[in-house]
Amino acid sequence: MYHERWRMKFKLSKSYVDYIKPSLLFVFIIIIMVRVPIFLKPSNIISVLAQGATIGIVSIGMTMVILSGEIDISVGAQLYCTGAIASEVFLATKSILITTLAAIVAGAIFGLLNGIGVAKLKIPSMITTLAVSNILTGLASLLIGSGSTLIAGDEYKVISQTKIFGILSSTWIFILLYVVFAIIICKTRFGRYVYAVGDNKDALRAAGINVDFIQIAIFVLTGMLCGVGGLVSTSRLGGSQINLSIGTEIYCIAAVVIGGVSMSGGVGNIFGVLVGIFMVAALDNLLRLISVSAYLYDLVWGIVIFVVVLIDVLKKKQQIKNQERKIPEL
Amino acid sequence: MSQTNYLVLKDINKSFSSNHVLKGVNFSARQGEIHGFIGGNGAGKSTLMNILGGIYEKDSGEIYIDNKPVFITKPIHSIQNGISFIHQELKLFSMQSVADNIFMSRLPTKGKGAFAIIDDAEKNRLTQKWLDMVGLKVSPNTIVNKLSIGEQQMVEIAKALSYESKIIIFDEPTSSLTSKEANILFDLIRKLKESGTCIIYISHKFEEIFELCDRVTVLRDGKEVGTVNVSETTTDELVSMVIGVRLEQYYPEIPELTTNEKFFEVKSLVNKKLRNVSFSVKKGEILGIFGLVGAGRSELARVIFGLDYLHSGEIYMNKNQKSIRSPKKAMSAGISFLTEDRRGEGLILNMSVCDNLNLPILNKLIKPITNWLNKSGMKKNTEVAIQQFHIKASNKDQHVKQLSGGNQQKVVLSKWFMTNSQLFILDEPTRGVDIKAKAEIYEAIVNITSSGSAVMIISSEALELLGVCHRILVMKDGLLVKELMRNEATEEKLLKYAMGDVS
Repeated sequence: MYHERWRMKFKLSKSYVDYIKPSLLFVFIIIIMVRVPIFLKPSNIISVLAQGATIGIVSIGMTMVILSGEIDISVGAQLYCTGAIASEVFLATKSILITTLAAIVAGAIFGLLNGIGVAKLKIPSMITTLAVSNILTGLASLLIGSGSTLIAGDEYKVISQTKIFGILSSTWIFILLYVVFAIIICKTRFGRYVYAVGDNKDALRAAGINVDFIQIAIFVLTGMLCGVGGLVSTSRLGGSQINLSIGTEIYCIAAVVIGGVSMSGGVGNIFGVLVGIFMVAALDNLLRLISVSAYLYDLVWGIVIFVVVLIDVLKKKQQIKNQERKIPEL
Repeated sequence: MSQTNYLVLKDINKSFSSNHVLKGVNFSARQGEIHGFIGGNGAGKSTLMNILGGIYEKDSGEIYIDNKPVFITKPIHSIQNGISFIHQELKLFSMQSVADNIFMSRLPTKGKGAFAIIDDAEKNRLTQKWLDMVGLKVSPNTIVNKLSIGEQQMVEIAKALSYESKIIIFDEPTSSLTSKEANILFDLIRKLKESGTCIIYISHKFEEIFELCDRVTVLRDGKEVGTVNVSETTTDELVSMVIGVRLEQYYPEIPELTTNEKFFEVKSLVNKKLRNVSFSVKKGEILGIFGLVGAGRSELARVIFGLDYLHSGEIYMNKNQKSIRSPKKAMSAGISFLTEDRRGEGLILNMSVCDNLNLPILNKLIKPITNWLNKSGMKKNTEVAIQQFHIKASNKDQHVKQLSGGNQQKVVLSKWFMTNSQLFILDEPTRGVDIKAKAEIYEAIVNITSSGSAVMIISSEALELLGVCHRILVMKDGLLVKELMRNEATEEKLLKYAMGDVS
């Protein structure tokens, strides 16, 4: 009996799971400092920020999607497709304004497709976005055609490669969008609804809120952010190529989950995600700096996601266990 | 209390597929009264209140509030008409703040539209006002799942008040509260009554009805039996209203116990729901466990079968202490458990009768060397079971989802009875089953005890336990409150003990 009580006390005090993530971060930072001093050079930091811009922009949308208790695995394909569309439109019009609009509208339409599938047709978001992902990949590959590259010209690079105060415009676009969406998520009614959808859909419906509309809006906004992301990523290269950005969803999901957003929805904040985005961009950069074989990338990122989600799940399990084992005073 | 009826429900009907749950119910309540609402399990209390709360849509009937007809088809209509429903299972955003929970549908903003900035100061000020009103001393920014269940209920009430509801429905609000928390709740409900709110209080517990309510309405089998003033009634009158006159059912002959040998015993079981439960079972005995929903009956079974966490306590089988931490261990100790959720946990609906029947004993049906399944053995078992239990299936390969509820239940029963366990725990074995199938199930239960196995039947139907059990234990609030032998038990006694009136 004494042993049992002691064990319970130990478990209830502070779960060991809480320490895993901070200690992993710590180890990561130590490795960087000791092994790869180039990493901390200002020029490299600027390049990390530029590379991270696309992932960052899309991660903002992914944050809302995951907060609402869903998932969007079509963001990579959305980037690919909106990027290809943007490149084509720029080639045809040479107008930055029309190109930007085209990319955002295309993204909104793709997001609408996801949103209707999830909210109205009640298809699980994993399946809806998987299907949309394949549709968009096919569509984009058709657009790019047999040449496997689509060159839009050097003028196109202006969108993301202009330096303002020593920082590339792609980074500025990310910062601007981050601030706007941070305000939306933290400070507006819509932001509260995003959390509430992920927390308890029935209760939100009972409060008289149009839950379907909120869910569709989340996917549409994510699509629009993908449109901007597609624009930025293709502009950096001056055009698109076959399978560009495919698989980006794994970086975005990693950024959001490392940032502390719970995969089951309703918990987390956009400030944590900023740290997550930086961590992902940094780890990506690091893998390049220490010239890890490209074949190992997928492996590394798969493990990262798995470990981070595992921590999340363990935490939840621990909570449920503690709750269940608590004897109510009577 | 005003003498005119504020809320009137007229001739409400509701069916779920073929099940006619509400058969023209009339109900009325006044402003400034606490109106108790009682009835046995399945009488239709929750269905009626869910119609009022907009969770279900009524098939026919009318609802009047303050003499004006109202139309409620969605929860939002209910709120707009000044009705708040405090559910037994609270409907809160558990990971959001108290303030967000109360004001989610009308967050105060500085502008208009969904993207207007929330006025946090105003939100917290308004929240504080309602928290003061219910006497809950927490910050508006507290996350709800950090609060106790009682405090969470106060948040729900604060929400109801913030809508300025004229009618508040409480569905068994004390079921998960400590007695201290319940007293705070009662004081608050009385305060609400004085301010002229119409309160409908659904409960299983007579003591609460007598302590709190002004009038009480009794519902039985989807029809109201009557409304009485609490000051002019007695527990006995209410019990007889709840029970009514029942049709005779067929029960088999119960053989006398031939031995007094206790082979199964539990001592001081404690967990989330159970408070120190001890009892024993004799060989060949049919033991009934009676209690109202939420009394801890199913939890008792689940603990014995290793499905729920056992905090402390001992389980003995044939004088040997057993540590049962999983269903697998329970089965190897000789215990079988028939869950109350037949379709969800008892059967694999898309598999055949034969496959379902042989599932628990597949490991005994493996051929040597090849390890292939012994199909002819399975077939033989199935034929025996179909014959013995009168299962009406077109053939042994029919999918169980095509069978009637009664026949599905017989499949589950025979599935477990084939395992040769020593103790069978049956949770609501005749729920949703017609009278003829019930009789056959009772017969099967009696037959299985002839080989020395014992059966524990958990049921909320008192008559059924009186008909088939040697002994009945009554549970209330996680405690065994009474043990009644077959010859001394009556339906009145069972209900009285289960509802907590021991006088």
